[in-house]
Amino acid sequence: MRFVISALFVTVAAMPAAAEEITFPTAEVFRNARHDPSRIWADADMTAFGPNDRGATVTEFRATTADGATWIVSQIKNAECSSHLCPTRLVREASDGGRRVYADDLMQIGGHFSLNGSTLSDGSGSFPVEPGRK
Amino acid sequence: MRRRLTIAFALVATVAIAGESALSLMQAGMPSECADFAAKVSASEGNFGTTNQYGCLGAFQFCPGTFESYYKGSASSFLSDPSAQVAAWKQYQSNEWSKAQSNGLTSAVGQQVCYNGRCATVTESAILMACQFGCGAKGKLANLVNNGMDCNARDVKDGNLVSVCEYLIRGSGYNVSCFTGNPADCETSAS
Repeated sequence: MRFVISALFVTVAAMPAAAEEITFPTAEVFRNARHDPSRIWADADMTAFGPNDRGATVTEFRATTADGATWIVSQIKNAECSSHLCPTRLVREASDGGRRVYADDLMQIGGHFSLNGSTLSDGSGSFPVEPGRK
Repeated sequence: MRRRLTIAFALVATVAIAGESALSLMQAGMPSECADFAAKVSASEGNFGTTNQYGCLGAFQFCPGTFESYYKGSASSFLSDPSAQVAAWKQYQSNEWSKAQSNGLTSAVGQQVCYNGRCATVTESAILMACQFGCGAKGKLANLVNNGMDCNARDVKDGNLVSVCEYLIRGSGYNVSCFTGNPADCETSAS
């Protein structure tokens, strides 16, 4: 019983750091692109959504955490989009440049993104972040 | 008095989210045969002058960046131009149908889909309604077709865990021949 209580205490004590909310207030937009400057999307993904487009549009949000890593939310307007949703990836870039994708789904266009614990929100819905988030 | 105000507010709120009617859409240039389907979509989207919290515009809620793909002009001129909204959405629907065809998604037409206790036959209008979940090769409808029509799989649901099957059922049975170029695959338009 004492072990269970201790384990519970340790778990709860560890939660605040893991659940720290990260918001993505500013965006950089690359319009009518044939290549993604951040290389999160392949050239094959750079397709046009509609007749007025000459390529894809990538909207990128970045937030740097205390450990020097950068979380990137990258949303691409391409042929995979509907008028409401577009493919969106959550990527962590470590201070040594190493990258890993933690979420990859269709998310709200114009969404307000935030990362809280193991959940990425686009302001409309929630998406699980794959295990292993630091 | 308070009750009367509450009822009045509820009425206004209902009107505000009711979307455009088939008649008003036809007056803005929607072909009559597709007006019922367009009104069904608009009912869950908005009115010609609507802007939502994400900046999505109009009776069909084109979200930021997407109306520019189908319209040359500002957001405010788009909002104040019902004919432009209908023209943009007609072209968008036709393009979505082409995408659905080229990605093999129209193979679901004629199949029975059941979800949350309701069943429907997948029609062309059902496909177009489900294209709100993406009609690309990696969208929710593609995932559904590729997984053997499992409506409960996680990768056929959105961020609110709504299944693409919900939209297939909601959209079934309407005439969308003006978008697809095919004869109507339903006896009469649903209402």
